[in-house]
Amino acid sequence: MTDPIVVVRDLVKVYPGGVRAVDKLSFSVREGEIFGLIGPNGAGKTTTLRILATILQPTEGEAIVYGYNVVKEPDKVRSVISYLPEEAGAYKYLTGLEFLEFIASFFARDEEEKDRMVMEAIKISGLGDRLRDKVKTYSKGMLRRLLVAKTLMIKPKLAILDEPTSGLDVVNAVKVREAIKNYAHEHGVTILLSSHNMLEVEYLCDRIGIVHKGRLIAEGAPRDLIKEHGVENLEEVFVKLVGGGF
Amino acid sequence: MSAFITLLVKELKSIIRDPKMLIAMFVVPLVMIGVMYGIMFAAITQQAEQAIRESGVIAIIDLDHGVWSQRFIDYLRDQGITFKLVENNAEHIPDIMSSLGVRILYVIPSNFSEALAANKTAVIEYYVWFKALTVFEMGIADRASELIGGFSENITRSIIAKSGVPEEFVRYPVNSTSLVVLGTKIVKEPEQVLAGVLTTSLIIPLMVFIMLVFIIQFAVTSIAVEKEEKMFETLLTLPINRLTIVGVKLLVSVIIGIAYVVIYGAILLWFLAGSLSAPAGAVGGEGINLSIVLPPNTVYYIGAGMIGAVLFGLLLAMILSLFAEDVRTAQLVSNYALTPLIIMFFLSMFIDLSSLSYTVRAVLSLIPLANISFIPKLMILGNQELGLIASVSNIAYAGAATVIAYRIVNTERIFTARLFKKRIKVKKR
Repeated sequence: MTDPIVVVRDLVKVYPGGVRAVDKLSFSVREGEIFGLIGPNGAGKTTTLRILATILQPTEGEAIVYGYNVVKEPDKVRSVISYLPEEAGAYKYLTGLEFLEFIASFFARDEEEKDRMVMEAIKISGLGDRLRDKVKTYSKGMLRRLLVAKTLMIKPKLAILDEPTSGLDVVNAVKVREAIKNYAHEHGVTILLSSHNMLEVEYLCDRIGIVHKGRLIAEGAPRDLIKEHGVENLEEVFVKLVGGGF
Repeated sequence: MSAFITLLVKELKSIIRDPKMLIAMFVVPLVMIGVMYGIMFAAITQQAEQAIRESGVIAIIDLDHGVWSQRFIDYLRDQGITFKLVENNAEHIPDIMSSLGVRILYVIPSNFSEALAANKTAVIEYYVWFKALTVFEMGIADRASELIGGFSENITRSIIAKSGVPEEFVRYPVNSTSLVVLGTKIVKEPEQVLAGVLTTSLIIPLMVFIMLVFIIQFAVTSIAVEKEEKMFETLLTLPINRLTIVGVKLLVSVIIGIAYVVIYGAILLWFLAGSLSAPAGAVGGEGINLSIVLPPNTVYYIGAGMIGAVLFGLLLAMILSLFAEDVRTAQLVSNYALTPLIIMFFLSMFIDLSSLSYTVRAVLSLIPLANISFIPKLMILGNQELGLIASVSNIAYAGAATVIAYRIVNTERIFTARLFKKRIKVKKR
């Protein structure tokens, strides 16, 4: 593991109306690792990821991605990240292939590179001939696999995945997890993901940060945290730290 | 392929394949245009009827005092027309019409009977008082012309009985020259005046307005579809300028808007040509010399106002589109914004500015978009400074809208802006 490519320092986000979604949150993500932000609903995970993806702006604090400040240099940040929102969709009236080509067009320097990206996405998604069908005919699982493929195919410096398996059945969830893990290890892509599925996090992540009420309450490798707290699994670590009060 | 072209191609594919977009493109605009034309047609009918009523009392200056002039007067009486015979040598026409309160005045020249008796075409001058400067005063001009036409037919039947009468004379025994009293001026060829007023205060503004309605409606729906399909969040994180995202949608909307203007413009012209016979030929603009009819600078003011209105409309579309969460709220947002503008725009065509105080005229000249149709009327009424204000105000509104749009697009408001307050995926603890 090398230097951090994501640095979040004392990040605060207060929404209009006074809701403090993120409260002095600090963590870092090293190049090539899969880092998981875990926490209950409303912990501030999505808000943090949206700030890193340059969609929202922090109220206070600083977020640096690959050396670029998300507030001062959002265009540069967007050129090195690929973001998968939790409730993402795709253009229903395009085919899967057309959709992948559409996304690849923004990142590829030429047609050849675009074709390579699309080929990579075909491999990641595992959707085969169904990619020739319109997206509106896809199941939720197929759509999510398409979206994970579009996020990873461009080999971003940082892939931000918000609840990548949220709402999926077991089979599709496993396929998505496998795709993420294989691709990250094969290409050395840094991944920052959020989840409240502890098994998923334990399986996928090199390190995790547990977020509660907008603050980071623990950080480290899943095995280290389990050992440190003298429990059986990550779920117990989580309950012990949060105390069931969420 | 540039980001712009990529987005443009995607946009066109979506339009062709997405039924929601087709509804936004065809069904909603058709309903809106139906309502707009309905309001306009109803108002035209009502005002045309009013014009006929007002032309019920006319004035006649008989300089001939001959057999045929008396026959013309008798003809009018037979038609149930109430008239006032004026003893005058046809001077100070505006004062006469104003004091008598008549909208039509016929002047029968001294050689009228002599000419007809000698089998020569006689002429009756008619004056029409354009008081309100609404487009429907053409109904009064029509009425004045129709009465002469009717009389002409009437005497034709007598003349045709004589042998050896030239056919041309039988067909057109009486011609007319018409003049319009405009303020304190007398202008020849009322068709020119009507065409000028129609073109500058109705046809062009209406075409621009229809185009803007379509653009706003389509752009708002287009962004809403992006949000409904949950692609907006992803788009905002792609390495493309955010203005490009919105700009492509506006461009497509403008292209469609122009196409609609051509289609609906043709329908409108067809309607005007069919229902308003007097200016039908002039509506097309052929041979219209606006500089004769309108005061200096009017065309420039209208042009500048139009450019400002189009820019303001586009920016308004951009701002509104960002408040739409889905197609339903998109319709709601555009209706909120468009309904008062549509009402104001159509009212502007029927408002008699001459009867309003200067303060009210000044206020009306500040109404965005709708004020374009006021410009020629204000200029004819001598309120050149208000014409200028109406023109410049649209540019000022466009400037203000630019600042607002820039602040929304380049901040998180592009993502968080909502028509109705709603928390963004954060549960209050």
